[in-house]
Amino acid sequence: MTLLALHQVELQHQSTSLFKQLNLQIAAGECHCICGVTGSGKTTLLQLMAMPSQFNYQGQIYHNQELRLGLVMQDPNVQIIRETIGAEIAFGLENLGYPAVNMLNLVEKALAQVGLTLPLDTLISHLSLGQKYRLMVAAQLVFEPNLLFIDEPWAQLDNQGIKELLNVLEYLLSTGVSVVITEHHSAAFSSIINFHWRLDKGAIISSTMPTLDDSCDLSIQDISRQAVLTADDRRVYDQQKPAAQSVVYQAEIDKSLSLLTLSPLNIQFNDQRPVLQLKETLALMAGDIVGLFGENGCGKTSLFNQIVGVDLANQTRISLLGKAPKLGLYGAEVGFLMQRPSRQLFEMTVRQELEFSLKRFGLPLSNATEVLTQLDLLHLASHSPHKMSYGQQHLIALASVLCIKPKVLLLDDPFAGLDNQYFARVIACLTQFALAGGAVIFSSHRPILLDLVSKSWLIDQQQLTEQCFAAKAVSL
Amino acid sequence: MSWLRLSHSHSREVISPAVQDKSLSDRMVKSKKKLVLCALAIIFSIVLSSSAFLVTRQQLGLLLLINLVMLIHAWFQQAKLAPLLKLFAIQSFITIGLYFLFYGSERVIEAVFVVIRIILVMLPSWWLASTQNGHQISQVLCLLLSTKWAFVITTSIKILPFITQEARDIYHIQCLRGARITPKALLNPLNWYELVQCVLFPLLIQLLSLSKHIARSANQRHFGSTAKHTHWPLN
Repeated sequence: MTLLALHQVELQHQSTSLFKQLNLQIAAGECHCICGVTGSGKTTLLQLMAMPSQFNYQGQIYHNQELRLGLVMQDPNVQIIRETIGAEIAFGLENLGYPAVNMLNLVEKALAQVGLTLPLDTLISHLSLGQKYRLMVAAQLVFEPNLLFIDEPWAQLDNQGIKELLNVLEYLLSTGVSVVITEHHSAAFSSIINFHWRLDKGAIISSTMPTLDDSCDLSIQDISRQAVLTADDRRVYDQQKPAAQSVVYQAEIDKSLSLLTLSPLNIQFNDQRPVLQLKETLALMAGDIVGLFGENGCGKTSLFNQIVGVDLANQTRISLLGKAPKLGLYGAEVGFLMQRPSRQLFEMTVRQELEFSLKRFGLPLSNATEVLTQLDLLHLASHSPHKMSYGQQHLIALASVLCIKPKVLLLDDPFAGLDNQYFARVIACLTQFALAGGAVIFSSHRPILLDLVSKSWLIDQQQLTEQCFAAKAVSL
Repeated sequence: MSWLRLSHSHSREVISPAVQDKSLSDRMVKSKKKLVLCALAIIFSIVLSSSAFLVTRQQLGLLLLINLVMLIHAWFQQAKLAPLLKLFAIQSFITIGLYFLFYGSERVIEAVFVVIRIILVMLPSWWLASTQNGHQISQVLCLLLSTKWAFVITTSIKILPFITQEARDIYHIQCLRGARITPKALLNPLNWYELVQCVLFPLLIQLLSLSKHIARSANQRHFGSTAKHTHWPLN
């Protein structure tokens, strides 16, 4: 039984054609995966299929009369409406006028389906991101949908979260529910995918399951195994390398000096709950690329906030560029990319966005063009950053931090929402940055790029430790 | 977050259906009691907020005392006082500063009373949002307003802490990007526009985006699809 079908569907977005003659059929019990580069329109496609009445499209979108559709968007935090898990799942039932006494069983059943057997009055704020994601799935399952749309779970969830989600999806598929996933890193879901599609230049093309040669489908680990860069990106990197080496940095960096020292410290939430503990002294040297790894919510962001001086709780135990951290103390010497960096965008064009910091720090405006070229974003220079996709906005924010050429670069989850092409470009930029004497710490909720990093700082069971992988330092 | 992952051992124990029914009915009775208390809290906060502009200067002292008790009550309920006090400090600084700028020192006392009244208008709403469950407020408001308006009001209250955190994050990141918005830089009124431009504008963009997502999430879960609306029984 065909539940949903697209026939010759076309959609215009800001006077350009986003989708051209899309054809797709989804039958009961099937799992489809749609991948595509950053900004190709994956999220828009899901929304178009789920809520066609909200779009001005051409062609036909067929919804079977028996179709009951569920949609889980990229960030569960922006979909949560209530405070407790029971009330959140019951929100839809309330809207359908279900009697209060009937709600309890339905809510408990939906929670059991996603393996979230917690008291119904558990506060949502106490759940991990992976649990919140499963909660949003349960909030859809309570209507017993026969088709479930899931938007880019890989970027949001750690490995445990992905494992939990996979279990839920396997169960749903076994009960005849259809699933459509949009994902850059489809390899993680290869065990359940029946049909694999690629959204390319507005067309949807059937593609093979993920392989190492298909740049669209490469997983992060695959890139890591391939010594970080694909052949194309290695060429781009090699071409750019001389330019990078000629960059004049603000000051000569003494390689024997530690740029950042973390003495033993404890990080706690405001309510005194412990987050992480550091028992040994950690140091960041010039040329280092450090990976800070840990599950969702383990305290990576809290640590970054303390390093840059946003949070002064451990000010005496941290030394950044020889000083105790304080907001605004370092000027252009420290670059920090926050999570969801699209929040910082406010200018009318991408170029202006980059030039903002350059003007404030009195740096050459030509840095903007240089970084946009390195990241292959020059064609977007005159575009509004506010009309771009999640991944593109992420890149613009990253470019605005890179262009000030700081001594220390702190990147909180810099690879979220990036396709493999941009992923490799960002890595090339970071490598060049380290080669020129800069030091980088990037965070991720799964260990990645172990071939690239010179040190790995791992947060496990509330302990922050330095791990020795077969790592190589970037030679200076 | 391993320590936050509530373990499955945390889940409900095996209980006989009779005991389960009794416990459930007890919880439903408790929820109803809480609902009545919430309704009283809403009326109390509306009366107090309105009084802030209606009472005479002499009666302001009494009102301040009541609000102080509410502040302490909210603090005991784990509400964060620091952001609120910061907001009051900024608001006082701007209001008194503007009075001083336009009218000189003569009307500073008047400015102080204006500031106190504004604080007394805002504080009861903050107390309500800090001590009452959003779902309960929504349930009470549904008795007086349409479901849509009750949803809009309670969602707006619920996202207040989120907005505060977003504003704080955006402020910090723009400071790190070199924006002239540090407390010292803001002593110069020429830099105030920069605060609007690089903190307020992105915050508004985030709010628009969040409201769009919440609206989509609610619509997708059949919000407004039927006239009949029921309520989750456990609060």
